[in-house]
Amino acid sequence: MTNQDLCLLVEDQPPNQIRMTEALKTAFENVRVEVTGSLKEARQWLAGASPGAFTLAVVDLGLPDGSGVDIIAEISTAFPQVITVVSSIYDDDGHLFEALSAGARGYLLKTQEPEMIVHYLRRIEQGEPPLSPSIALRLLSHFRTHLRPSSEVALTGRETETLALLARGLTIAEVARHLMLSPPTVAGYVKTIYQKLNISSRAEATLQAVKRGLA
Amino acid sequence: MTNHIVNLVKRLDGAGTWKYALILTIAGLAIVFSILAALQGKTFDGAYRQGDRLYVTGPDGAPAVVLALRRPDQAVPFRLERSDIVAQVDGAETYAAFDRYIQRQGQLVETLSGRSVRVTSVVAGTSVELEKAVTGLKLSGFSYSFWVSLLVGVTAFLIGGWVWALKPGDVTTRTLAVNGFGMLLAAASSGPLYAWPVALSPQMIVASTALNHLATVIFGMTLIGLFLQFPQRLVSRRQFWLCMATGIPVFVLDQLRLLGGPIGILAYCFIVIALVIILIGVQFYLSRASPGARAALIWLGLAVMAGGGSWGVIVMAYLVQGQFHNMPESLTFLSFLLLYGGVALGVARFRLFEVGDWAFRIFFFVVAAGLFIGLDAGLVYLVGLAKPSAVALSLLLIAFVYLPVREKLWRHFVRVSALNESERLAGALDMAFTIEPAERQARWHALLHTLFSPMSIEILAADVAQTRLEAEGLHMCVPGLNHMPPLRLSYPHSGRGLFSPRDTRLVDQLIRLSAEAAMGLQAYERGAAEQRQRLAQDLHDDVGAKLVSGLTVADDRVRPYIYGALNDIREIATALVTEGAPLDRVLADIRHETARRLDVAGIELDWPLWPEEAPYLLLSARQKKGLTSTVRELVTNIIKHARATQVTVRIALDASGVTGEVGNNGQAFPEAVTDGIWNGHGLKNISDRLGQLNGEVRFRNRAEGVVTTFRFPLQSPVLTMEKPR
Repeated sequence: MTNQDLCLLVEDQPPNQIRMTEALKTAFENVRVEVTGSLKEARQWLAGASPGAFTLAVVDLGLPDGSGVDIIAEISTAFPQVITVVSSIYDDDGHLFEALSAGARGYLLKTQEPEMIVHYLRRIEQGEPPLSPSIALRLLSHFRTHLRPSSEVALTGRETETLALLARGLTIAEVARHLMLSPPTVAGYVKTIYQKLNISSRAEATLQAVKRGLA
Repeated sequence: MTNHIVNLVKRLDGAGTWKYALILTIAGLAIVFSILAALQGKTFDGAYRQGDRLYVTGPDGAPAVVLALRRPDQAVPFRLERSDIVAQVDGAETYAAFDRYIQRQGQLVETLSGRSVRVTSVVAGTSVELEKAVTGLKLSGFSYSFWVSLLVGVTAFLIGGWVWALKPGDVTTRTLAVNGFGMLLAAASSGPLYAWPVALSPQMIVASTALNHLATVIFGMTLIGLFLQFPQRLVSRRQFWLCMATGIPVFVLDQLRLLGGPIGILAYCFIVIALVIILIGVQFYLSRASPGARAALIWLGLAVMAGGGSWGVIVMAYLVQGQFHNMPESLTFLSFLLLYGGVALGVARFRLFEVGDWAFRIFFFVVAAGLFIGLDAGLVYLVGLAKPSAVALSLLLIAFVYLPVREKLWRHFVRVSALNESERLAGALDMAFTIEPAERQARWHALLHTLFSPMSIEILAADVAQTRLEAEGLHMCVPGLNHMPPLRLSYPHSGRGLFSPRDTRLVDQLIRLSAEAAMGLQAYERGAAEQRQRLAQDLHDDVGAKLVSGLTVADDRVRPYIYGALNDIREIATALVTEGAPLDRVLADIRHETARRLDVAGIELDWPLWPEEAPYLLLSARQKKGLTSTVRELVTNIIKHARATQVTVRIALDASGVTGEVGNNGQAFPEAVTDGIWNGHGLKNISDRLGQLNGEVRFRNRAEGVVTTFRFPLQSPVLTMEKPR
């Protein structure tokens, strides 16, 4: 991320807008933050944005006019190169998993201390999205129960191994040490896992729609 | 039930129809042969037999004893003797008596060879001679003895044949089939005599008796043979055939008249029964470790005692009274059918698991009957009471003395259940209301143990739809309930018995009771959970959101408290909605959080992975919160105050509980802290949290850095079982 980059922040609470903007500016010097307070505002801004207009989006889940999950899905379809991050006060894996399936590449908890939020933002931007053990478990069971092993988006052995170790509480760097791989390689696995989750979730949604006669 | 029928049909299919055809053909031929032979008997109009007398219907319609018979062209009438009208030809005491009987039958046939016969009898005090037409014996004129014995013979053979067709390859069932054939042959061959003609040709009598003796030998030898190999094989195949072959000399000696008299074949029968009883004793001893075989044997023993024993008693009774030749043959056949049915059921192993109850029921019934007859006879013969009063007194004694005793014995032997109804109810409720899964499972197992004392209880992987018996009652499969896996109990009553349908009913009752109790509990829990969920939501969404907003305006001194409060809210909200969590997942979450925080602070972490093979353990919400906040608080302290570069964490599980050790290479604790006095909020919190869990914490300084050790006990024993996947 270069210093001239733009970040879209979708957040309705003014105090949180301020905190997140501060965290973003701490994480990435001179970054410009575009703040929108609702789904409607965000959509209006997106409608006028060119493909390379922004590189990062931080989206709150609980918005006054709906769920942030919808805007995450829209961004990941229209701007696939943009990294989308969830910001939420919920840390239960149900809410977060929904957002990750929609295309989010990471998540932040608003209750975390600013240093942690900054740390997470940097990691996500460097392509090392943190993954909590409970999310890792959910991913494992998602890929085990929803996909045939022959499927294109099924996990490889290494990816499964990575997820299993993350589920046991290791960080990406520790997984890399454990598997005797470089941290970027393991981070690459995690990125692939996120992509596969997104693809398989979309395929599943299409399938559901076909079943219900909507597509 | 449907399963049983399907299995039975499959068995029938597999048996091949030719076996059934063969059995039915043999049975049909035997019936036809027996009837045709019996039709050869001779009689005359109005003649009928009763006891050892021949009667004729007089002109007035009243019966009159026949004294003599004369063919119209004969000068000398044939004077009837009582020994001419016998039911048991074998009852003749000597071969000479037998020969005389046959010779006189010849003369009688001769007398009845004309179109009519002159019958001398006494009517109204005067001797009269009536002329009666001579006829062959008609089907309707056959005595009931003929039909009873033929029915018994055919039934026995059909049972034996059926069992053989079910398991054709089995040497036991083959022996049983031959045994049944012996019985059929015995019945069919004695038919002409049991039809009770007035006279039968000597050739027919000799042939029929010979065939009957052959059949008796076959029956006796195969009965012995049966118990030589059932339930356990006692002899080699060679020895088995040798034993069977001893029947040949017996039959030859019988036919050569070297057995001391026609009654010799009877002695042979007694010897067979005695041998069989001895063999049953041997088999009973050998099967002491095998409940299935023993149950089969109880059937057999019972059948042999009831059948063979009653036969022996009846024969003995008639012999003692010198009335054997008049004994109705059908009696002995009926007692043998009883024996036979029992043997066949045992060999086919049909509903063996119910044998225990039935054996005792029949046993008690037999004892009651025996006591009644014994008392009655004793009162009549020894005390000299009149018959009706003896009967009444015996009945009273049985009712007032024996029946209560029997009830006691029945309870003792059959009602093995160690718990009464209210205790069972208490057990089921107790189990259903136990919240801790491990504890609940332990109680369920304990309850099953108390009820059945099985030698093993095994957790099944496959689902069990309903309580059922397996391997004839050696095992009982119990469905899973209340989140507990299905089980298989084996070898009940310490291996000395079998499970019975009564046991499955008992288990079903327990399952129903505890399911109802659990449902009530769940409904309550659901309501409580919904309320907690609402509470957690409000706490998290409203209070939490306000605090987050407050973070922006708070100054640096207040902010740490707000973060602390937010963490607490998160913990409390989680604790409110979750019942508890597996230890490995709790540890993974703490480890992940710790690694992240230390990473931000630039501190190295040494915390080995929790072993995957560690026992599966569920922490309560309180324990989870205690463990999580202890580690979090310690890490916060290290980041804030210790100025450490490395942190080591070790968590271990032992029989008494969870122990933890968090060390770092930073600054030493002040002396007050190591002495157990601390003023800081964090350390006090840790101590309080662990105190609530009956645990403790200690802070120590080491040569290099400091270490905090903590431990807390687990209420239930560590459960070793497969992790849920």
